[in-house]
Amino acid sequence: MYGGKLPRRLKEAKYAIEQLMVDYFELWPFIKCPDGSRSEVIFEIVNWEQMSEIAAFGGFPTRYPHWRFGMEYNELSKGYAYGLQKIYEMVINNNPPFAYLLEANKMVDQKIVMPHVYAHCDFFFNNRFFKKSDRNALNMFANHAKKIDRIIENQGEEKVERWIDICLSLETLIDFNADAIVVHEKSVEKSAEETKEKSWDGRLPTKEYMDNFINPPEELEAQKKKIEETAEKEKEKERGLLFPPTPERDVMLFLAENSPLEPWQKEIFLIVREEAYYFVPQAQTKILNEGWATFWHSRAIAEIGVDEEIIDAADHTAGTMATTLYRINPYKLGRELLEDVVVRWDSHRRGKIYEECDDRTILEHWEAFVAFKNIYEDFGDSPEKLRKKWNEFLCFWKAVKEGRCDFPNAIYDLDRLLRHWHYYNTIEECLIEFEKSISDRFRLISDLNKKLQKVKNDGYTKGIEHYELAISLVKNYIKRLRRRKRVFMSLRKIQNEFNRGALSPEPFPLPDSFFLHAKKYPGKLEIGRGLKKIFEIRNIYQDTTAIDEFLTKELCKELRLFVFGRNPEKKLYEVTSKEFQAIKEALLLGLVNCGCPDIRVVNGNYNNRGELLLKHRFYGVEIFMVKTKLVMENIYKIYHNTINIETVIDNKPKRFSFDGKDFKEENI
Amino acid sequence: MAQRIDRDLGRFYKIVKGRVRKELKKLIGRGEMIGRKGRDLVSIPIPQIEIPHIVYGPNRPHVGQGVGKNDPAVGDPIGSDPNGGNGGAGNLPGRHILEVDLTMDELAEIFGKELKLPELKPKGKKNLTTETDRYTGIRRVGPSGMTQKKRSFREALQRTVLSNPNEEELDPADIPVVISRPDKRFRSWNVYQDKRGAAVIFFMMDISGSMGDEQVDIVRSECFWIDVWLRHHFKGIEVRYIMHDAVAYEVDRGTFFHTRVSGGTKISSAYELFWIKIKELYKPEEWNIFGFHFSDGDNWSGEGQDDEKCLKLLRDHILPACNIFGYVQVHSPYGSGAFIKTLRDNIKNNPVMKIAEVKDKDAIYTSLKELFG
Repeated sequence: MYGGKLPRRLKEAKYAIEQLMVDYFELWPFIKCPDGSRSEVIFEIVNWEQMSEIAAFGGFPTRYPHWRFGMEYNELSKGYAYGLQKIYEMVINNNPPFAYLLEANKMVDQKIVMPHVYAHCDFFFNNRFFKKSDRNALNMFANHAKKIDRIIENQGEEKVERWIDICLSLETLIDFNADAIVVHEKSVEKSAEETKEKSWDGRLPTKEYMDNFINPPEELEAQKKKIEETAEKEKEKERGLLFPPTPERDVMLFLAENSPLEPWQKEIFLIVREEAYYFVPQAQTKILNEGWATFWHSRAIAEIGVDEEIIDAADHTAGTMATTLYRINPYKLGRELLEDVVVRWDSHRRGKIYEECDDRTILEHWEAFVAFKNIYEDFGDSPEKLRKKWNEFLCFWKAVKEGRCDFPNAIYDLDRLLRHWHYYNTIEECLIEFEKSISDRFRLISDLNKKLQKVKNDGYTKGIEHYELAISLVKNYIKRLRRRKRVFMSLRKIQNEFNRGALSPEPFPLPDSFFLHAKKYPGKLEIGRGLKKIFEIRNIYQDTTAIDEFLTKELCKELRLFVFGRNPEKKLYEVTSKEFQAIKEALLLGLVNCGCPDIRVVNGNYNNRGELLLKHRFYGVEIFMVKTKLVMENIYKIYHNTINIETVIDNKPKRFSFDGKDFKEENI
Repeated sequence: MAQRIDRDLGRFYKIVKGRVRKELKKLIGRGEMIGRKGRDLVSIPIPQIEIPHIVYGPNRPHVGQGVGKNDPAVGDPIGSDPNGGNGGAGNLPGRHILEVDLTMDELAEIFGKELKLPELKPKGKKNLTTETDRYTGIRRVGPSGMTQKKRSFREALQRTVLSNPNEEELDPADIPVVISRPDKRFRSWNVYQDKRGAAVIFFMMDISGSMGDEQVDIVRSECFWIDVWLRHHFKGIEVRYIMHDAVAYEVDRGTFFHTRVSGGTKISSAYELFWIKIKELYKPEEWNIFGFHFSDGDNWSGEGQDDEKCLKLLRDHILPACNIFGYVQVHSPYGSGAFIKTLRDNIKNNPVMKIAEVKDKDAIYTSLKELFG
């Protein structure tokens, strides 16, 4: 479509990497096509101008004409020209997915970028927030462009441009939490049963520490009053006097259906709205998606190896994960979050048993404690058996630490100790699995060899290359499996050595507190679940829920996060807090509702004069009135009636109105 | 290379230029905001062009991350908020400042349109420029005697490499290249304008003690815009600087703006040096001459009657020779500002003489209109 096809070296690398990501890491970056086959990832090489162009267009080359794309392009190409930023790749969520690689990337860059691409595709196709995403968006954008071009022919460029400017300023006034876009033909009226509010004290369900954020006390007071008023409103609803029946989050939809618009205006308005909805899942999962991709490309590089290019590889990774003091880097935050989850779910650094532990010895030797805890659960009733198994653990620990019995010392890591202990205790099963895997692959190779022979006889050169490549890939895979198998073999050797009594234990005195703590929290601890957990995250979480659940105090400290804000008297920005709660709240402020204030249509017939009343749900942070007023002017050009908005400024509830000429401000 | 984005990019530039025009008045007063990029480009900061959205206000909390060993503590400043109102520049949250690159020509066009300045016409014979041809170009057709062998070979090589599907198999030391007709390149000529019949600007400034930093800044801005406007009309402009107190010296640009002496002022010294230079080097019949004098209006009022001398020099020699002679009086708390009155009273109805007064930075805009309007 755009650029050049992959040259031979990269094509080979692509197949190797695909096999690595799918077979070895068990990602699934594919969509099932109707005929049962799976979609390919299509790679194309582009130069930096084309890359900037694709990025400026949001990934889709045919968009309606508008200066914002030009502006975006100007910034991106300047950023590249001055060495400020470099886009290495772009992945388009489509069926089939398109991935663009920068022509100027060195081979080592492409080796990092391609696994990154596969991980992105895997995320797009498995995360539930993309389930209803249009995988044929190329067509949608092209159709929109065609429609708008036609309208321009009839109405004129400037008129249309000014109208699009107005529509775009309402892009954030949509329902970010909707599962999918509500098609505009649907009626706004809902049945009375649907909208009946059950008896409720006004609290939204939330975790304790989130409480003040989601349920600020002033808001609760207001809610209580509201509940009383709701009874009144129910009566009004039944009389058909409330319009809309419940506050409408999809302000754009409300305006589309209730404003005096000419057909061409409405058409453009709905196009802008549809496109805004298309990008919502991507905005809601930016951190997880980039984190996911970075997580896997790091693992891939470790497997593929880069030899002399290691400096460039490190440079590349450092570049994508660089932080400037003022901005959170989604790649870094996402990846660190996922790595942290892996460690915590591998070593059970979670749940009450961990959070309520304040004994320093236990915390400093957590891995040993977890191993002990499970042994205690198994043999708690027989102190002799317990001691024996504990001794075995200590011998195992020392052996792997020192690299005895061919255990590759390079992979010894406290983080993975428990996982290896788990393997140690299930050696035979693991080895059987490996044998099966390897023999499967050998069978595959002999199949391929047969096909290769046939193709050689036919003299079909392209086929020969293809099969030779496939065979070499499988051989590589077997090599990898064998490497892993060697680890297991050494674990088995360690086991044998222990049984012979030839090992000595790690000198670690068993503290009494271990017993006490283990007794306090009954139940075995599940270990080694780290990778499984992040696959779960990939499937069902978005940025807000992931940060809410998985961000910890320790991670904030490790990442050196802080909250900063403006000091109006000193006219500068300064650090305001390093408290975990504050950091989390500030992060979520920028993520909930895609970082936009909660604005809803409360009344379409305000003052009984057909005025529009919007309400800003105030949770502690003010909206920017200067810009809001500009938006109100725009909404006026759509609704053609006075626009009112209720919000809180300087701790006072106020109502601002715009009647087409002047602004008024009232205290409520 | 033509791209799909060119349409939108062009539209964006158009909007940007419109913005520059709107901001021009502000810009003229604050010349230091304009950055020069190489010979031809200027970089102008303008407020970000954006679509307004309902967002949180600038007092909202942000999350930042410590970099390297850096781990800021509560109360540490992160960065300043220069606009004092709506957010800072650079990495900080808030409004961006958009930096636009324009060529000098584009800037001059916007300048001219906004100030509604008439085009400057060269005087008399001076708009004759001679063109010469020099064989510095390349084209695809031509006589065999003009073949450019190196280029032709390069084209052929390029074609051979590109059309070979297995680029890896080519041995760089041994590629069979055949030069065919479409590969051939030939020398051709480019047309060059002769520098004769161009223009020269003389900037003169009173550098006595009464001209402070603020005044010099104003002069700097005035010089910048005069330069932009004149360069737009004349290719190959020369600029010369004369500074004076009681004696005049020709200097380079740096010295011109950075020297300060404390002493008396004799404006005639500058005018005299100016006249000498014109006589020696720039024949008024062949050159478009522009002179601009900046001072705080304080002239030697002792015996010798320097004012008279100045007027004589102007009437008899300078004004007949120049296209424009501009006197710009910059207000200074130390100067008397009398000279401007002398000029206004004694030189009337002369289209060459332009007189302007600048009280502060914001008046630069009007003064430029007076000089060129």
